Amino acid sequence: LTTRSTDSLDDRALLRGALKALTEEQRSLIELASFGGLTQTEISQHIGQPLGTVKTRIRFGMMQLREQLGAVPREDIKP
Amino acid sequence: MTHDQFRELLPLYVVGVLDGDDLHEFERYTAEHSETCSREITEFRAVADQIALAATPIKPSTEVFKGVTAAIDDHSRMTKRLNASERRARKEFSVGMIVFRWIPWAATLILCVLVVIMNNHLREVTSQLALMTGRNTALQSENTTQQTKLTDLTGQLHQLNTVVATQTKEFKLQSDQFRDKNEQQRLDIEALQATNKRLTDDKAALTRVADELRRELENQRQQVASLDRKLTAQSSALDLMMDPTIRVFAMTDPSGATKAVAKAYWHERKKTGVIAASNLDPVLQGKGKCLELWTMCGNVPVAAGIGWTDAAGHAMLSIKPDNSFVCADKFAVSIEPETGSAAPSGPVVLLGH
Repeated sequence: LTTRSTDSLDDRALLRGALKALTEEQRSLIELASFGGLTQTEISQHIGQPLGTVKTRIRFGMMQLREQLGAVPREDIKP
Repeated sequence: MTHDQFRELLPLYVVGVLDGDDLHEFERYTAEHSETCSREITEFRAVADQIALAATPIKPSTEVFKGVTAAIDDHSRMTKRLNASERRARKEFSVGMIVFRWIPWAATLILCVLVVIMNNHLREVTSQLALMTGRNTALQSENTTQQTKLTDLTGQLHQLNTVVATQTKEFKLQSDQFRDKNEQQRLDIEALQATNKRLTDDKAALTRVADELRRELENQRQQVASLDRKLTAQSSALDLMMDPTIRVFAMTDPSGATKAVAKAYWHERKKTGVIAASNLDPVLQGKGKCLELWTMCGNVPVAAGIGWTDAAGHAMLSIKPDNSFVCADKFAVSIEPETGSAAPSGPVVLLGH
């Protein structure tokens, strides 16, 4: 976790905006991965999509989120 | 694994979906390159951690809210009992707690969301499991039926194989017999064909001989017929010449150019006669000419028949005048066209009276 105060209203709004910017498929897969506790294989079987498609959507979605949220300063990252 | 592959798997790793070989490879690579990878993992994990905070807060129930508030109050009362120096430190800690008081709420919120999602997922999995169990039972039943059918079919197949083997053996035996018989028949046919050819050749030779004999027989028949006619004519002529009432006329070539001579024998009462000629230039039948006989009463010639010489210039000509004949005091022979003429048109080669 970073030391950035993510509980502030501004940061939460920024985070939601970044999630909304994703496609519906990317967003739902990332939410399923983050909150569902399923592996990529289980997600693939659950939604009936090929494993490669699941991996690609999650990867591009996460990379887009990283861009939207901005680079986290190195010094703010706890090891 | 390369570092590019590491970076491809990194977003999946930080949200915790990697499994199987991907996870194994990723962890092995990060263990080998921990210094390079740890910073990138930490950086990306921060993004994943922030996602959890994006969920919409759910207002806790009154009991939960009271429980949390009471816990905070208890904590505050405990803080008051601390000594001043500790109070200062606790006060700083309390400030920190105030700053981070959102953490229990967020944790509660995340737990609620997780429980709801897991419950839904568990329900789906349970229903799918029941469905698959039902299908599995049906498939097992069908499999048992198919196994029974397969066993029956295998038995039938075995019987059929036995029958086929027996029939194949019989067929081979019959085939060999047919082949031997066929070979024997082929040899017989060849022998028959050779015999037939010989017989055909013999028949053709015999046919040729028979045709030749038939032609020879026809020639001889014609010769016999000709000789018969000649014999009949000569018999008639002889009878006529032997008659004591016969009149004889000597005939010669009136032009004196040839030595042709003839005698005409005429029976006055029968009105018929014959001319026997020699030394004539040959006038052969079928050569376009003939000798035509004429009887003359006064100077009126009357046609009395036609005839031909033989190759030596001899001829025996019958005198057969038509009904218009009145008398005969002269006889003449002239050369005329093959079928004769109504009046003399060719040269007179014999004349007698």
